[in-house]
Amino acid sequence: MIYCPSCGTANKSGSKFCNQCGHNLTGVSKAACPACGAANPTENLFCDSCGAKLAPLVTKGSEERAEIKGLSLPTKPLDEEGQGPLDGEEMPAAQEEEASVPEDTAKEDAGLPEEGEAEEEMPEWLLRLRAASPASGEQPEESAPSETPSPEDWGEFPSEDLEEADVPEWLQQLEPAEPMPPQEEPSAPEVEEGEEALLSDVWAEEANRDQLAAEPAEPEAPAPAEEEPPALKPTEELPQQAEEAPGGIPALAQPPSDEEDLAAWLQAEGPVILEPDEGEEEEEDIVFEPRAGETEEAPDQGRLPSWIETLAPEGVLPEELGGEFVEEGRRTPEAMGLERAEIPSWLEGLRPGRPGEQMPEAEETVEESGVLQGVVGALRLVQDIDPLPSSQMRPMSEPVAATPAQANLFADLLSRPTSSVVKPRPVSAAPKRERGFAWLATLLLIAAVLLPFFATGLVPGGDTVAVPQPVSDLAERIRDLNETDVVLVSFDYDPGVSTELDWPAEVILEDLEARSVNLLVMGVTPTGPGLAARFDIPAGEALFLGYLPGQEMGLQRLASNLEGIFTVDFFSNAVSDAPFGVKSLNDVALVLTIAASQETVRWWMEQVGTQTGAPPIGAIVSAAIEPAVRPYYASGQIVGLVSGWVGAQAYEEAAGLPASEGEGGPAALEAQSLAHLAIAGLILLGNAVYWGKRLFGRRA
Amino acid sequence: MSEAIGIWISALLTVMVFSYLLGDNPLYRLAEHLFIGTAIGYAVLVAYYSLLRPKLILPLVQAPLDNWTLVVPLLLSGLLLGRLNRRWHRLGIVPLAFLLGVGVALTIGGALFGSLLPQILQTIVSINPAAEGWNVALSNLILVAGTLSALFYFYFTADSGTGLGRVKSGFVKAWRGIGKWFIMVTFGAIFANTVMARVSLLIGRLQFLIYELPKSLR
Repeated sequence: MIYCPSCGTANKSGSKFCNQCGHNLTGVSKAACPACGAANPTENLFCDSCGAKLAPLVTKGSEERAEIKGLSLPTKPLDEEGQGPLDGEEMPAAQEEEASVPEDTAKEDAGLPEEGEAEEEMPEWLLRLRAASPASGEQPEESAPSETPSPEDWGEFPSEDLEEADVPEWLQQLEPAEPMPPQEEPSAPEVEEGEEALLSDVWAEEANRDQLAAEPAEPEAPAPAEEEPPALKPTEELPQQAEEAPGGIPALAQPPSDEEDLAAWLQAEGPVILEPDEGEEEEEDIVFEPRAGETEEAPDQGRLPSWIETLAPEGVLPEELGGEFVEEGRRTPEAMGLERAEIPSWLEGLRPGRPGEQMPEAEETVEESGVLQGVVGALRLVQDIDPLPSSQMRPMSEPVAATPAQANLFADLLSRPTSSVVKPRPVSAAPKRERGFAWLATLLLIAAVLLPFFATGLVPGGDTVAVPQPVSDLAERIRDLNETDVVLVSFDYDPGVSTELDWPAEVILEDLEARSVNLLVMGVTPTGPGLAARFDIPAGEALFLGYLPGQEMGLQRLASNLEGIFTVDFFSNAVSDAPFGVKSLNDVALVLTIAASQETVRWWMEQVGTQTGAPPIGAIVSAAIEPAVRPYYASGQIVGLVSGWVGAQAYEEAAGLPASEGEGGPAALEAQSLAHLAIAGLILLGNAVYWGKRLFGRRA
Repeated sequence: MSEAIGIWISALLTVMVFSYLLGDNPLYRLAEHLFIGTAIGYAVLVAYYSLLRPKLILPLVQAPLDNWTLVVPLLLSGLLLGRLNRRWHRLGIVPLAFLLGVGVALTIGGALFGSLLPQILQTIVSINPAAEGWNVALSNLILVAGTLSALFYFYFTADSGTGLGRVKSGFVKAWRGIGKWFIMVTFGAIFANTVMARVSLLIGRLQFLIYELPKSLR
């Protein structure tokens, strides 16, 4: 049995959640080992993990128990597993410790309170009753302690303070005329008048029931007053709601929330529960420890003890009572001579059905699918479970419409064979259309590029260009060079753009060769000198200085100490052996940088062009960087500028050189012009489609 | 014969690169890796034969006492290799600091006197048509307006909306709008030039396949 720490409801052993409030009982159903901390079932006397005895911890806890106070509510009998009785004041959380208490220890712990304590806690009205009771003084001390209320007190109390109408008639008839065995002293509940009526019933019934249970082995003998009171002790704690009742008022004044629990509770409280069924046996509350020499044999369920039979109302034979018990397991209040009005109205509604009444039969359901297919009433248990109070009822989740589809999809995915190869996603319609346009543009561009090589004159004037001012300025600067002048040509581009820059470089070198100037060939990129070596440059008129490392720092040193940087040329020949001597950059008449990156042009401008006495710098650049280089020409830092193929052909025209053939030349320029037209047409077409879709799309 | 083989290899690699039009494929990757590997190998050889061998190794081997100062750059180069190891990577800070310090100093000085000041001076031009003529005056006006408006476009500070701040804010906002158009036109020109350059490369490659490849077969 597990008591809920939240509401105090008794739940069956092994329960994970409280039947009443749904509280999690997993932590409650285990007892922690004091040695290793392992969780053990509450029935364990020794730890499953380390074998340590769990009793010491419980014994210590039991010594610290609080005194018994208040009314002993229905508790549970000792179960078959030997679970020890529990103290009525124990908190539910300590029950797991209490479960492992040895029987002897439990007996000691569950003994009656000390005399002094009983004297202090005895209610005033009880003291008055005891003083007024004639039997109290007649009781021998050895048989009944003076501080302990005698059974006579229990029998006399309700009739004194309660209204006559509130006392059940059968209780009055059942008032024990003989001394009752001593029982647990109730605390001093300060109850209102309205509550006393109910409490009187309960207390009287409690006394009756205790008396019944205290004489199981000797049903024939009435409880003698001289006999030592049995070791009556409550076995389990009070329900929490009873303990927490304000002002010490037992929670019996509050109606239980659950109808079925209340029914069991009423049966336990009622005067006629003598034959509980199996389920009710676990919920039985009070355990009577048999005295020495007595057996634990249960009394005959079908027969009342003789002393009860003597207390039976007039006209009710013991046989009738016994037969009624055997047949129905209970006696109705009418059979006991009670009137219906004596039961509070709120309890009346919760009373279990009378014998013979037909309970509505629940429909039996048959499972139609799943592993429970064909099982009848498989889900009926759900309906039998006590529902939660409406305030604690959790919202039920209902399957949505998409759930079966999702479940099927998940099952389908699980059934598919696994593969580590990622399959390409199918291309949707829109990307296909876009890819089609991309291929169309590519084919159009390739056609525009190839057509001029097979049919010239497709673009009128496409093979001729106007000579821009930067080109003519550079051509004029080169034209002014003398044969003794030295021109430094720096190949500052990579093979990737050699197709575009080889033609301008070739045109410039051709013009320089025609002027018979001396050349210094170098490069600020590692691949530059190698590209320069492809051109047909007379060795006697040129010196291959090779690669100049250091980028900006190298150019800075070049401007200050050219002779110190280049000791050997690209072919490992000593620069000092060159046919023309150049000691510094000031000896150079013109610097030409052939660059594909604006960075290299900027290095020349910033590190060489800013030096005092620096030679003029001309640039032959890729068309891609012309916008970035042109400002240097506008500022006068560059004396001339040739850009790409267009610049190369313009330079040919400006320098009066023959037109190139083969790679580069009119065919290449015409192809370039046609390609530019195709690209421009595609851009215009794309814009027209875009704006058309926006305009007409909006109107639509 | 060797030239013909080189032409055929070049043509084959060109076609392999063009195969990227059909999507990423092993042929394109092979050509790409060959290009990168060849370029790096060539750069290493050039650096060795153009720099290390003639300016460091040979002087130290042939006349170490006369060129003992070359030990300093050699040591700095060795420390730079410490960047390859996590344990010794802090040793590479010294040569890196030296390189960055010298480079930044040169860049600042060169940029100031080689680019910034000359370009600023270039924008101080006359916009008087009487003195320069209408064409030059208009060109200068566009130059000045474009330069100023482009600079205003990168003026992100917001002013208060009261009094003089409102006037200033409106002024900056108007110039920012003009500057945005100048910047867009500049980007368009750069893009057009880039397209032109890349089309030239395409034409050159196709021209190579059309003209150079048949020549090798003759």
